[in-house]
Amino acid sequence: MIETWFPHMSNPRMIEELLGCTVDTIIMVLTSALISFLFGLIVGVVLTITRSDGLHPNKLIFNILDKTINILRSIPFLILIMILIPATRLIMGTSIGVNGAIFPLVIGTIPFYARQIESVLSEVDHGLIEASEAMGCTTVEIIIHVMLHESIPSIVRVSMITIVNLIGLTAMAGAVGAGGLGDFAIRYGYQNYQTDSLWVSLAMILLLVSIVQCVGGIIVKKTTH
Amino acid sequence: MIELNHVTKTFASKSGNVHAVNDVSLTIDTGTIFGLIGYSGAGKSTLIRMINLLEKPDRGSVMVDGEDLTKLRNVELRKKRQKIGMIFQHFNLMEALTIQQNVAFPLRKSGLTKSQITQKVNALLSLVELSDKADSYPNQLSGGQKQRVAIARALANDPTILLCDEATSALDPQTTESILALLKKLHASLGLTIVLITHQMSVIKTIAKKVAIMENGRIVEQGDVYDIFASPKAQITKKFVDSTTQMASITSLIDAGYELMQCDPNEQLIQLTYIADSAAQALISKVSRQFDVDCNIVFGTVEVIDGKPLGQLIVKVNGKSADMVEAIDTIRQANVKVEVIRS
Ligand SMILES: Nc1ncnc2c1ncn2[C@@H]1O[C@H](COP(=O)(O)OP(=O)(O)OP(=O)(O)O)[C@@H](O)[C@H]1O
Ligand SMILES: [Mg+2]
Repeated sequence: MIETWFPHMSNPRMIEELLGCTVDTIIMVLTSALISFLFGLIVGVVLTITRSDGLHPNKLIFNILDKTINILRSIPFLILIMILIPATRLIMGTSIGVNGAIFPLVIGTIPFYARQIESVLSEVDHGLIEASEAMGCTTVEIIIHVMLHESIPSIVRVSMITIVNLIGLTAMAGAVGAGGLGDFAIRYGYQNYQTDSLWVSLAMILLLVSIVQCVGGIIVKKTTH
Repeated sequence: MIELNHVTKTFASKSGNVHAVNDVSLTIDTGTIFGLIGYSGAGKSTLIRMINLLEKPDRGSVMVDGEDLTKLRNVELRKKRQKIGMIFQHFNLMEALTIQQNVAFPLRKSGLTKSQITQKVNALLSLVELSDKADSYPNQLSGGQKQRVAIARALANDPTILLCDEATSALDPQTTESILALLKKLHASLGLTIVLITHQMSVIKTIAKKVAIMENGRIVEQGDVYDIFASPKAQITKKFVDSTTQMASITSLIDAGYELMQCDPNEQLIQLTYIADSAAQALISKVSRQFDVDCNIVFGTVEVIDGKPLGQLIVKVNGKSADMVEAIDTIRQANVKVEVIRS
C-alpha cells in the first residue's frame, strides 16, 4: 500500500536523504535567522529613532537606511543570490551548499525584518516614551526598557513571520545548489519526476512552518499581559 | 520655586507657525497647588512640559529652585527630572510590567538595594491604596487605579514637584474626586508643589490655590482661585467660572428670553457676588426699604472655594431709576460686587 502511493519515498535511503535535507534546512533557517535578527533589530531601531519624529532625528542616516532597504527588498531573491555570488565566495569561502546559502539569506532577510521591527516599534505608545523621558531615562534605556521590552509579543510575532518567510527563501535557494528541502524537491521531485518525493518534501516544509507558528503563538501568549 | 521667564515655543506646521507658548512668565511658589486652565490647543501641555524641559523653549529661562534647566547638560537634566514627577491623561504605564515593577522602574538607578526597593515600592503602593494590586498588570486595572499607580511611580524618587497633565480628564466625576483627594493628601503630607493642567474649572475649584488661565499661548489672567472666582476679569475666565457655578444655566435662561428674566423699563436684573456670607439678603431687604425699590431674588447660590464661601444672587430690582441707582450704589459700598445683567 505505502509502496503504491510512495514508490520512491518508501526507500530507506530516500528517507535518510529527506531527513538530512530537513536538518540542512533547519540549520540554514536558524543560522540566517539569528544573524538577520541581530542586524535587523539594530537597523530597525536606528530607523525608528532617526525618523523625523523619533528620539534623535537624523535625515541622512534615515534616508540611507530607508533607501537601501527599499532597493534590497525590490530585488527578486533568485537574482539577489546570483548577484551576491562573488561576495558570498569572499565571505563564506564558498557559494554553494548550506554555507553558501546563509549569506544571501541574511542579506535578503535583514531588510524584511528591519522594516517589520520599525513598524512594531513605531506602534509603541508615544506617551510611554514621554513618561520615561520625564523620569530621567537615557535614550538607550528607553530603547531597551520601553520600546523593545514593551514590544516583545509583537517582536516575537514578526520574528515568526520572518522565519516562515526564511523557510520559503531557503527552498528557493535550494534551486541554485544550497541543499535542503528545496534542493530535495527539485532534484527528485522535479528533475526525476518523483511526484511522491515532491509531496513529501512539501509536507516537511509545512510541518516546519506549523511548528514555528505554534511555538510563536505560545511565546506571544506567554508574553502578552 | 518654579519660575518661567518669557518662555516661548513656536511649532512649524503646514498651515504656518503655531505659537504654542507665547512669551509667558509665571512664578509658582514652593508648596502650592497651581492650576493651569484653558481650552484645547491653548498651549497648556507645551507650557507644563517646559517645567521638566520635555519641551525646550525657543527663548526664555526655566528656573526650578534657582537652577536654570535650559542651561543644564543632559546628564544633569536627567538627574533633575527624577526630582520632578509627572502624570498624564492616559497614565502611560508599561503594559509589560506588573504594578510593582512599574513603580520600581524609576528606582533602577537610585542606588537602593533590591530589598530597599521592594520596601519603598510597597510603601508607595500603600500610600495610593493599591497594595493588593502589586502583582497585577496595568490592563487589569480601572482608569482610576492606573492613575494611582502612575502617581506612585511619579513619587518614587521623592520629587518635590508633581506635574499633572490632564490627570483626571479620562476619568469619571467620582474617580476624578478620589484622585484629586489623593493629590490633596499628598500635597499636605509630602509638601509637594503640584502643577496641574485641566480644562475643567471644577478641578481647579476643588484643589487649586492659585490658577492661571491660558488662551492662544498666553496667560490672560492669574491669581488666587478665590479671587478669580469672586471677580473674573477676562471674558474666558468668566466663562470658566460660570461653567462650574450654576450661573451658566442662568445666563442661558436669560439669553433664551425666559419670562422671569425679562425686564420692564423700570426693572433691572442684577448679579451680586459677595465674599463670605456677608448677609447679602439682609442687605437687600434693607435697601429695598430705604430706597423704595422692590427686590425679587431670582436665584442664589453659595460656593465654597479654597475653604471660604462665595455667594451669588440674581435679583430683579423694580423702582424709579434714580432710586435703583442709589440702591445699587449702597450695595456696592457694602463690598458686594454688582453687575447689571439686563436693564
Ligand atoms: N510637537 C508639536 N508639533 C507641532 N505643533 C504642536 C506640537 N505640540 C503642540 N503643537 C501645537 O501647539 C498648540 C498648543 O498645543 P498644546 O498641546 O500645548 O495644547 P493644550 O492646551 O495642551 O491642548 P489640549 O487641551 O488639547 O491638550 C496646538 O495648536 C498644537 O497643535
Ligand atoms: Mg494638552
